[in-house]
Amino acid sequence: MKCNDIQDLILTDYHDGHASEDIRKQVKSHLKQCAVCREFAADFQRYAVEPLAEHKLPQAEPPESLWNSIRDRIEQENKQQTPTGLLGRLAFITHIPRPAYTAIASAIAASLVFFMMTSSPEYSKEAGDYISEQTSYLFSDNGVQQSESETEADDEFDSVIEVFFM
Amino acid sequence: MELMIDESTITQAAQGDIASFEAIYRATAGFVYNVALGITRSAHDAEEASQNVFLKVYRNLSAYQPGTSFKAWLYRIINNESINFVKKRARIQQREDNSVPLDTMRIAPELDNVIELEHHQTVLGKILDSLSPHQKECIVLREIHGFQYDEIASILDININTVRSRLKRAREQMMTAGKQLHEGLSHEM
Repeated sequence: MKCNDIQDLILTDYHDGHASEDIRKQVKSHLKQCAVCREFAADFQRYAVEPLAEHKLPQAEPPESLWNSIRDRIEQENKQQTPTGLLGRLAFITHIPRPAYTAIASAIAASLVFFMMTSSPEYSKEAGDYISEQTSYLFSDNGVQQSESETEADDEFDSVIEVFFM
Repeated sequence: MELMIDESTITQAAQGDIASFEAIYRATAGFVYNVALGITRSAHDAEEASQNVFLKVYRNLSAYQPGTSFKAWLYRIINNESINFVKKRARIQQREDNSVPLDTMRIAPELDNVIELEHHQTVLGKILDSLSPHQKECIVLREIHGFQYDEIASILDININTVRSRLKRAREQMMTAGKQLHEGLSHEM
């Protein structure tokens, strides 16, 4: 192995214990013979390893009460999930997943609004007036006869649009 | 630090066995609490974060894949939960004082917290300042937590060769910065 390979190994697998026994032997043997790589290894230890060796995680003891709080919360959650009594046991019949609530509520609300609007006589009158107003405007107001056939109207589609926007 | 938990304990806890879950808690509470403490720097926040971590672990144990590193899986949960606490605190602080910017939190941000403030003025602080956030993450996970390459890859969701290359570049950078500082100090004397 060349010096570059040895130095790469020192920076990674050799230092971190990921090198095989054979590779370790080769690195050790190279270091015995090569002063440049020995110096490299010494600098690596000095600047990249030793300064961090002093800094480890805090070694504090977790509070005694921590496990009790966790166990209490788990038990509380389990109780909420476990059905109790007759009503609880029958809850599966009425159980609907939460996202479904929104969809169902929206569908009911939309149906109610639609029903109220379509069944209202005021709505029918207003809508009828609006449609007849629009129809008379499109087909008579600008010289286009209502009696014209659809084919003719299609043929003159461009001119109708032009007139409409004038 | 190795976490002494066998797979059967995890499986039983995943099925709701509270005694097995307590065994997991006993084996990991120190690790969980101290990582949370390193990130939040508050005993109160670390306790709350740890509580949330264990509740998440209890609810999601079935998502853990047997045969993979439980410590790495756990670390991701601790990190996310602790960062949430730091962000929450920063938001409250920001509301009280608009001049405090809300930093984007990354994984393993505890490096800056583990190393005490006065050290930032020393050689180590300056050496570490020369690293990119990605390089710092890898250095923290390897040197402070002692994670193996495959565990770091799993925590950061990157390729194992990327871990190796980030560690290599980080250490090269630390050596260059260290030498420059050393030479600078020698000239000053």
